[in-house]
Amino acid sequence: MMMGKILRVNLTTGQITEQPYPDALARQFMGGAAAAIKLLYDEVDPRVDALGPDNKLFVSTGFLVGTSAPTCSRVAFVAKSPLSGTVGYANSGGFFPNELRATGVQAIIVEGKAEAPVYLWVSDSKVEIRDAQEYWGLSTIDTQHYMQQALHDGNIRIACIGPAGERLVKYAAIINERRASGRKGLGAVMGAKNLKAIAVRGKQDLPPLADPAAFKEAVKVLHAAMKDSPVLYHRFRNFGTAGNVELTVKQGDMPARNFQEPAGEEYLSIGAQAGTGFRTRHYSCDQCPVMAGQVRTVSSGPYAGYTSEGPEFESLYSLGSDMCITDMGACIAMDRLCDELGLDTVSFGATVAMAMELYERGILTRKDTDGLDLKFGNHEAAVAVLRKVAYREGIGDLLAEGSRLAAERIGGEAPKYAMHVKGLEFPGYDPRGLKAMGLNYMTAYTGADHSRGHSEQEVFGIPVPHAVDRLAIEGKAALTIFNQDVGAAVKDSSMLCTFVVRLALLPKDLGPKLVADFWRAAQGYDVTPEDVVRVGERLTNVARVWNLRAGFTRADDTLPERLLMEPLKTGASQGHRISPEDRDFMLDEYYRLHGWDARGVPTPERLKALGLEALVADLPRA
Amino acid sequence: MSTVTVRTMFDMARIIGRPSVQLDIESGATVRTVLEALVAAYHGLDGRLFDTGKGGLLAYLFVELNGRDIRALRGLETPVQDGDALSVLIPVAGGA
Repeated sequence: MMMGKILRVNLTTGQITEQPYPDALARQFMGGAAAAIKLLYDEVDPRVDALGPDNKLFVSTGFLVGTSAPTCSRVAFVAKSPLSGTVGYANSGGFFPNELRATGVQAIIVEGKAEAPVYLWVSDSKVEIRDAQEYWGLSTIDTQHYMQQALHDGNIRIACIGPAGERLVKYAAIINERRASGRKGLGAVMGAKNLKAIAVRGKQDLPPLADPAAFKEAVKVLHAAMKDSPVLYHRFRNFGTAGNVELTVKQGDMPARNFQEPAGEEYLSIGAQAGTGFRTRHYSCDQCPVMAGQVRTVSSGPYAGYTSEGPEFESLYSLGSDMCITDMGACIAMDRLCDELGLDTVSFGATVAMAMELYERGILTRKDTDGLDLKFGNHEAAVAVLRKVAYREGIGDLLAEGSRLAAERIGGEAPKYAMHVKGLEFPGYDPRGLKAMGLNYMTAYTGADHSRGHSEQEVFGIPVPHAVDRLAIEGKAALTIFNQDVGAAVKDSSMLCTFVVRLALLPKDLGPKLVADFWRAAQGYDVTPEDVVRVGERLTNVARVWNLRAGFTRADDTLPERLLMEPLKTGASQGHRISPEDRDFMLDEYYRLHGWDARGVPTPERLKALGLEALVADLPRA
Repeated sequence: MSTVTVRTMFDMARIIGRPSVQLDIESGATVRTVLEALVAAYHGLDGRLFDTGKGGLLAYLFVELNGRDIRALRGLETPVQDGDALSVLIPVAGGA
């Protein structure tokens, strides 16, 4: 087996142990997110305090990470989410993942809580828990800079938290280089453990592949598919993810004004074409020939001097249209500040957008906002709030709790305007015009998460498994299951880049087949494309049962009242919503096709068919 | 005579000079005839919509009629009526 070892670090006791990667885990769950979520299931009681010492942080790479396969330098972070209380999973790229794998470590399990700030040092020869007092309080960028300097090695790669994570902001991010494992508040889990950073430096060769020639052939197929894409090396490289602004504005599905309206043409000022005027260079993750990353610099106006690797599309929605901000300079500045201070751009922007609506409705006043005129479009106020959130000052202390909890604390009608599912704020697709995306938001194990079952067919028109009518509810249950389960295996567990899967593999329906070829060649397992999809099905079911044990029910598989009751008022999706009847129709079909009962509880038969017999005893009683 | 709105993006919008344009069409028009009329009106669009070899749309494009992917309707032969809106879309890839 070519999987590396698992490192277990207990910050309470200081004990560090190593164990070989269990073959059963590798066979059933492949690696990456699926394996980490299975470990979460086995080791973390769903009812623990997410910010207490009993929560654990799982850092997990996939079997492709560090190999010659391009675009696979990706890492999964998993823990109970302090924002949602669900399974929390976020991932990032950059250089940290490949470096971690080069230490011989496949996954890290962080337990307990250190008495004082520490960082974890992982190298070929040494694993140590080290004092991090000198780094506590530093931004993520300064932490990485000074840690590399102190360790006399600029090639050390570091995943760390900023002031927001230290202060347990519920949507604090983990940052490596300038890449963010942004969502679900996993930075706060690190902060709660007094864990400032994980620093890695490895020079080891990977364990041998089972069939190097077959692996090389699969790499060739992947490169050929990437080259064959009419978009990947052309428009995607040129525009990056910001190209989605133009697309979703045309579809009428980019939310604005806290989902009160779809973004119109005025938001093209924060789109891809406008963005090229700010671009100063491209960047890429390790071993990625695409280089779609856009480094943008503001050269004039109040934000002159700010440079950011982004903003990506979701951030252009959350830092832009959702707050009615049309100034690209302000978006770049906030993107940079979120990365430095260690905040998730999406939850931050969406939470402030809610606060702006509450302010305009008179539910919040200047007395509540520390004197800030928190009206929609006021980017100076948004920047001021960003700092307050990161340091939990004034109104920032309230908004640091995320939209759900902040609205509950404000009380009255406020919860009506909190746009989230299970506590996770929405990304940049209004589901009223994208019904499978809506069903995905309702059912994804992490809450309103586009990355779990992105409806590529509705948003990007990719006709695989078939072309769809994005405004129809029929057939969306099967489509959502396809997107969630295939994505969970092909992207989240092998750790192939989501954009390569979307633009090069999905259009050819190549994902499960190619991953099976890689898996077979790497591990020597006799696996088929169906076995790959089965990994995704296991992940979905394991996460579902864990969430049920945490107390979530069918009633949580829903959308905010606004999306159920208020049709979109303008744009190409005008007149559409997901009514309560639509929701119930799609949910019933979704559960049935999954082999779950009408409560959304997996049946014992379904779990047994997936080889998950051990979970049956954990199912809630009928 | 009927009127159809055609929305475009990126280089196509630049060629047309604005993000959407209204076209007058004869009754009995289809998505294909509307798009052919668009190309005829804006010669810079030659080769940017249709794959001249295969006869269909270029592989990376997709077209929505009133928000619905025409491949889930009757494709290029889908009838178009007065007041309809066609969107010619170029997916790039968002999501991060």
